[in-house]
Amino acid sequence: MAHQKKKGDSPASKSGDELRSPSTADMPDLAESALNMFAAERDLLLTGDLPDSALPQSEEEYVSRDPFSADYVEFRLSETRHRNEKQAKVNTKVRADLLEQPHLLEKPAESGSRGAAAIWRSLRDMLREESHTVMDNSGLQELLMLKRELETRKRIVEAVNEGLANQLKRLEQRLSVYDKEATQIVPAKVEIKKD
Amino acid sequence: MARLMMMLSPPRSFSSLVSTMIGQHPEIYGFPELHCMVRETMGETMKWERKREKWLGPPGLLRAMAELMYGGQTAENVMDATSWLEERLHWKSKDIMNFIMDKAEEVEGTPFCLEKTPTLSFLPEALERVRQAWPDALYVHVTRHPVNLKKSMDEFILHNPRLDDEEKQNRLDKAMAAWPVTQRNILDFCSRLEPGQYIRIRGEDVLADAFTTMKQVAEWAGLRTDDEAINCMLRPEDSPYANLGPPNAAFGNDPKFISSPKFRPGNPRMGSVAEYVTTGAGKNFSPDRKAYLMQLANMLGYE
Repeated sequence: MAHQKKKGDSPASKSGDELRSPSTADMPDLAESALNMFAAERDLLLTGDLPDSALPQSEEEYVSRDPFSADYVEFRLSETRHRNEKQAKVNTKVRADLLEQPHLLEKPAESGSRGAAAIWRSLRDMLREESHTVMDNSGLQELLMLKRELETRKRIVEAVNEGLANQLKRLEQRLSVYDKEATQIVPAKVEIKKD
Repeated sequence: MARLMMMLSPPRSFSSLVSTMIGQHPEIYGFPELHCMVRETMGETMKWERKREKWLGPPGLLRAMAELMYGGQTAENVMDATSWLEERLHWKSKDIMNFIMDKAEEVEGTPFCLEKTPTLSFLPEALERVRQAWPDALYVHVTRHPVNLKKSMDEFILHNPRLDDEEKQNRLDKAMAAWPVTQRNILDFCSRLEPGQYIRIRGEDVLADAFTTMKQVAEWAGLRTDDEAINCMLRPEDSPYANLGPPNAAFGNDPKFISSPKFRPGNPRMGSVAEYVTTGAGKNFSPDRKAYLMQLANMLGYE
């Protein structure tokens, strides 16, 4: 509850001394007003229906909550705008190059991880699920077919393994002409200050 | 099922150190950053991770699954974990969390599981998701001085190889907004929790007097407070997630923490908000921003 001013309370109606130091007669009013305000707020808190969540429920509420929240929303929008612009630039400028060099279409890290994940999944399914189901529930003909299938896959895996080993060997030879330090994967340096 | 204890803090606020320390209490299983709850379903969460070049899924979640479900953090077990997740993209994220919490309880027998995902402090809807999924969860709010946090964020932004110069500048200009926005989200969120569900600690106090602070946290959660239990909390390096993980899920915690996980006590020199808004980078803030920042900092025990 706000302190209500009474007529005649304006500074112009008071003497100079009264203005310099508040009169002691005003003090009980202030205390009473603070108590009333507290009681009103307490009643509101205890009896009023508070929303289940104090978090903003919409973007408008978020933006109008405080100045930094508005800054943050603006920042997120500018980030998205910039990312889209960058993507569009890549799409238009580099398209021709990418078409000529399809291996650049995906980021090496992404394709590496995806490739590894796909190979692993297919091998794992082959080892654990498909073969086991057939082995446990099949007759002679199916078992012989499975044997042939697994032997074929084994040869393929061996061939791929040999091919990869040869490629790695060749890569090592190519790398050997470079400075040895430049071809090492250097772990992150951690500086520990000594007191 | 184990009870969830969730750490709430913005990034760069000692959250990896403090959460690993709390997670070392004998009655708590401390996870790395699981990131499950950033989105409603696991499919959406995986999509969110891939946008951040985490192609196999959240590294912290994959490490925890490899550890608890497949018997150890190896590259092969991480691949098994990612395959398991891909088969359950339609699952609700909370169900994935419940599953992994059940595993932790089964393996370690701890009555509490501690999770921290600093990104959640930017996402009010994700915080609400957590509250609805675990109405009896406990929350630990960890704060850091805004000026020190800004410095740490600036350093992180400048050394982030994924950002171009324009993105770096944009982030540097707006980095200070992260502190009031996340603190406000956390405070608003916690204002509707039941009494006793929430505790706030200053990261700086943990560095200055870890034994007392950790004891307060254990006491508040109703856990053992004997010296043996509290001393376990002072050895974050013993956590299975305090070191570098397998190459396909290497982190899941702050890289700086992982490179040096031992707890080193100290009294960090705190910045001054008043100085920051008068002579520092915040001098161009509008008066309402200055006043708001100072009030919020004061409320959280910073000057």
